[in-house]
Amino acid sequence: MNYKTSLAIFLLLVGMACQSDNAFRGTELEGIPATDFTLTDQNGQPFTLSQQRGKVIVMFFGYTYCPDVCPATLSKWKQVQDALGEQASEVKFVYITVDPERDTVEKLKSHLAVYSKDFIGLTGSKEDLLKVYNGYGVYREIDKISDSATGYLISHTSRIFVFDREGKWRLGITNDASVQDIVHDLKLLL
Amino acid sequence: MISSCYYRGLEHYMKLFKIGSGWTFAVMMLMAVHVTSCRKTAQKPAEIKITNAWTRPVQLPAGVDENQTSHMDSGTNGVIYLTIENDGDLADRLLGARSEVCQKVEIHETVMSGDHMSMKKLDDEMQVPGHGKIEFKPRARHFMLLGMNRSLAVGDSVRVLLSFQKSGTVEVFSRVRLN
Repeated sequence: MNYKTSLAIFLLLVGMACQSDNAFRGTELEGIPATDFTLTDQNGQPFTLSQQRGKVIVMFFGYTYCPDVCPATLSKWKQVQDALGEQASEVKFVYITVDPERDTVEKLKSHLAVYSKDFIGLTGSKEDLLKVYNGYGVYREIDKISDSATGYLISHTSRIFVFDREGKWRLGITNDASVQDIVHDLKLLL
Repeated sequence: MISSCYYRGLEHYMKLFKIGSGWTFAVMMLMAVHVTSCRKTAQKPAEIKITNAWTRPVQLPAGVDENQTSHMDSGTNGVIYLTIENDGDLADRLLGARSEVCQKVEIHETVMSGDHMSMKKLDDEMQVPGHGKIEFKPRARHFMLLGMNRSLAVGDSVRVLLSFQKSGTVEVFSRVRLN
């Protein structure tokens, strides 16, 4: 391998490395407009998605009765928030319940406060929530469990949705994505 | 156990062959075989060890009196993760778990199917094989604490009692942390 070939391969590798660092690690969407909605936050105040323009929105569907994946997601968000430092003020973390029967505003408030006072918990009427689930293709199914004190549990979509500052739906991030990968993708949108 | 077995083995072979010191080498060989077989039959009983115990923080909603929730469902749940290790040769059986911080403890398993997350309840009882281990960890099998009667802050410890068929009750202190 002569000098010119070695140099060409080196520059190609450097180029690929630079390109991958600017590429999203989550699944990139074509920036489709987000389906708008208004729900009630954990302080009893209305929250309208379209009024959040200018901020990057990170959204997840979960329920406070869940002890495992849902709090694990909130815990991960907390790490993401810490890693973003001052830039975290430009990101809103929004948690929408899939269990409006049990997730009252008081319940959402106490649950989210464990992780961050800045996280936003949303609930609403079943009809309003159903429109949101349908708008984002969210799967939600109640699993009755006869031999458990839980009464019922809920199967649901675990993906994390990300919207850019213009209110466009830009990314789908798998629930097991690392804190580093999420931070990387959010910084590309900030 | 092995030394008494060893002695009985020596006596047994000496009588069997009616031998004197000239046969020492052969006797030693036979004894070696006997001791090996003794070792195989003397199995170590189940020896349960709990490691990596931790739990997530829990905050009861405002207005829920922590002193009044011991006999009612607060609607707030918690989780315990840990690893059960059995250093013995023989198996043991987990019969159940309980804790003062909640009404009931159940074993659940998170199942990820593509993008869908669901949970299913598992049997309260579970076999712990000899020299085996069972892991209770995030996004997998876990102890679900149902009806929490107190909040758990980062740094707190939660006492959990695990009941085993052979090892009896094993006390575990699980530290509360974010991840």
